Amino acid sequence: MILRLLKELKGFNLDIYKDKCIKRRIAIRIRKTCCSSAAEYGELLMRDKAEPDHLLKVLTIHVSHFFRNPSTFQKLKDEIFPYLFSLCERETRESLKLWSVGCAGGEEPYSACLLLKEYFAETISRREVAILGSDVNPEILETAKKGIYREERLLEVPREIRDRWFTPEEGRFQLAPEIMAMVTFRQSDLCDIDIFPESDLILCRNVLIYLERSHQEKILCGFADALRAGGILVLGKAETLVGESRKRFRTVCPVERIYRVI
Amino acid sequence: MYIPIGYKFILGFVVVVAAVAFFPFWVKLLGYSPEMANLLTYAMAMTCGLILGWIFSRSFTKNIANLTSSTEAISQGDLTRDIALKQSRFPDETHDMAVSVNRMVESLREIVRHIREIARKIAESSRTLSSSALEINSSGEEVAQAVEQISRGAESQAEMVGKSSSLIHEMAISVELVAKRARETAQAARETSVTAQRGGELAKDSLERMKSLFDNMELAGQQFMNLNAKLQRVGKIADFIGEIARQTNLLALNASIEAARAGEYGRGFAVVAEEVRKLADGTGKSAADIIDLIGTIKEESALVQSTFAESSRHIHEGKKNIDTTAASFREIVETVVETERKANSIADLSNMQTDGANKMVTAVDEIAKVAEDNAASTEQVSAATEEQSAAMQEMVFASRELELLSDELLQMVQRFRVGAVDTVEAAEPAFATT
Ligand SMILES: C[S@@+](CC[C@H](N)C(=O)[O-])C[C@H]1O[C@@H](n2cnc3c(N)ncnc32)[C@H](O)[C@@H]1O
Repeated sequence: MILRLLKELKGFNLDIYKDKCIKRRIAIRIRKTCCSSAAEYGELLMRDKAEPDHLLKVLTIHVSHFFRNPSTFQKLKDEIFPYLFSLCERETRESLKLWSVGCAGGEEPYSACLLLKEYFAETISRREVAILGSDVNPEILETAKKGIYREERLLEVPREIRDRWFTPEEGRFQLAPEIMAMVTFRQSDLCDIDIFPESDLILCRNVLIYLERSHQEKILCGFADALRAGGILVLGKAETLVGESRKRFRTVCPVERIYRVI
Repeated sequence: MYIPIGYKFILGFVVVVAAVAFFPFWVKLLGYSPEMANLLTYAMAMTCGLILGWIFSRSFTKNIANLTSSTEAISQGDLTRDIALKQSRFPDETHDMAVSVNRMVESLREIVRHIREIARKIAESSRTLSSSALEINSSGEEVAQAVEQISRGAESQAEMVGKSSSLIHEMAISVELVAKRARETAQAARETSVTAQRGGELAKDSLERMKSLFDNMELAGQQFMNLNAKLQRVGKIADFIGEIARQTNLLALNASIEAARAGEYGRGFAVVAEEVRKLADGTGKSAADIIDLIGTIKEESALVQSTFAESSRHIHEGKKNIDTTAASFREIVETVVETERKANSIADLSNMQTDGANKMVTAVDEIAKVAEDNAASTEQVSAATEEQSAAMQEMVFASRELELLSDELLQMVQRFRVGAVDTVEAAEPAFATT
């Protein structure tokens, strides 16, 4: 019932998420508002204008940090980026398009930027690299645009990179504007498969874990359509290709969950 | 005896008034002039009032000053001292006030002690909370790592399953091919076996025919031999006839000679004898012809005989060849039958293999399903740990906030010194070291 209400109130579709997760998240909100039952909470949801927004805020989880799963970024640096650049060269495309889906506070796209800046400075001076970060949650995108992080989000950033690109500010760290300028943020929902942007590399990590299998499959097929020839998809460490989508990709690295579109 | 301050003043006032009333009388006794006496009276009354006023006010001014300084100290946060007023025989409101201020200080002390205690406990608990949240977070991370491991396993499982199923598919195809070939082989073997059997039969037939030919030949040879022997005898007879013809010729010659001697009478005889001689000549000639003929026949028959021998040798050899051929055919048939049997069993086996491969496919599918389920569960766990880590981050945040708040609270009540607790606080480290 609450799901239906939310859909009506905010046009936000919760069907795609795993039932258990959503129930847990809603239960948290119910407890916080001291409602005794789901029905009572439903009433509150209708009555209180601010409540749907509060609920949406707790529904999505924004755990992330810079260079999360360092081995994956190592792989990106050692193999995937060189491969993508040479692919670009061969296909004479003028720009390389990166898309970070469910980018949360921007840690993931910014990490990719830092990699490019640090190790491919010469290449990206010659070739345009467009990096897009998208998320459903507008507030988290606002924090992403600010680029201010608490220290625990930077624990896996190598020392010299941190010194070079971050300035400490009252116990927090401000990312250099030069890096922030490389990423465009956009609010969009993974459900809208038909407006997936054309890309060469899609990072979609730790988002699909919250979704139902059937939707995962649809979204993965959507990625396969959105990727240009030879494009790469990177999933989270607990995620994998599902059903039909398995036929659309070839595994590049099973450990880091890197796949190439066929 | 308790006397309120008001009463004390009234009493003083009454005394002064009484003094003013009584002094003129006493002063009159002294015998001064009335002006002087009046002046003196005023002076004495004032002095008396001043003395009384000083006595009264001294005690409660002191008390009030005492109270003021105490409350001042309290407002400064010093809760260590109680107010101690001088014991008086006639206590008043200032004493009451001192008692209640003391009570207030006592309860303030109590409250401050309590607040301090609680703030300290809160700080402690929030520290514990944040450290356990961190701990949970780190164990959550471990869980996440384990989940990653499992998920990696599931992933490679899925990979393998994919590979196995394609391998099995290929295998099934080749097994099918083998079965087909085996069936074809069996078919070919069956056909070969039929042909070979026919061949064997034909060979046997040929052999039979050959044998009878050989027998016939033998017989013919025998008969020829007999004929030859008979011809020999004919030759001898011809010789004999030739001999007789020659002798007859001689005799005829003799007879003609005799006939010539006999003359006329013998003429007839001579004719006969001539005739006889001619006959004998002819006979001799025929016999010679016969002998000649027999000679040529002999020559030719020798040739025929050698041809016979040759033929019979050839036939013999042919027979042997046919024998081998027949044996070969028999062997071929045997081999082919064996081949057919084997090909059939290969076909059967590969049918079984196909069955097995099909079963394997279902098993692999099952494994794939399990792997998929595993992947799904690991995803679930991973989502849950992520949620947990988000909650833990919030908790760490909240408990830090709490700690800060309790610190603030502690800071605030730190202004109040309460003596006993302060000393306990000071004693605590010492206590800890013992
Ligand atoms: C756990 S974070 C992942 C952050 C980052 N990708 C990483 O791996 O570190 C998941 C993000 O997905 C976003 N998200 C959830 N549902 C979404 C949807 N339907 N469409 C787009 N983003 C979504 C959430 O807002 C959240 O920021």
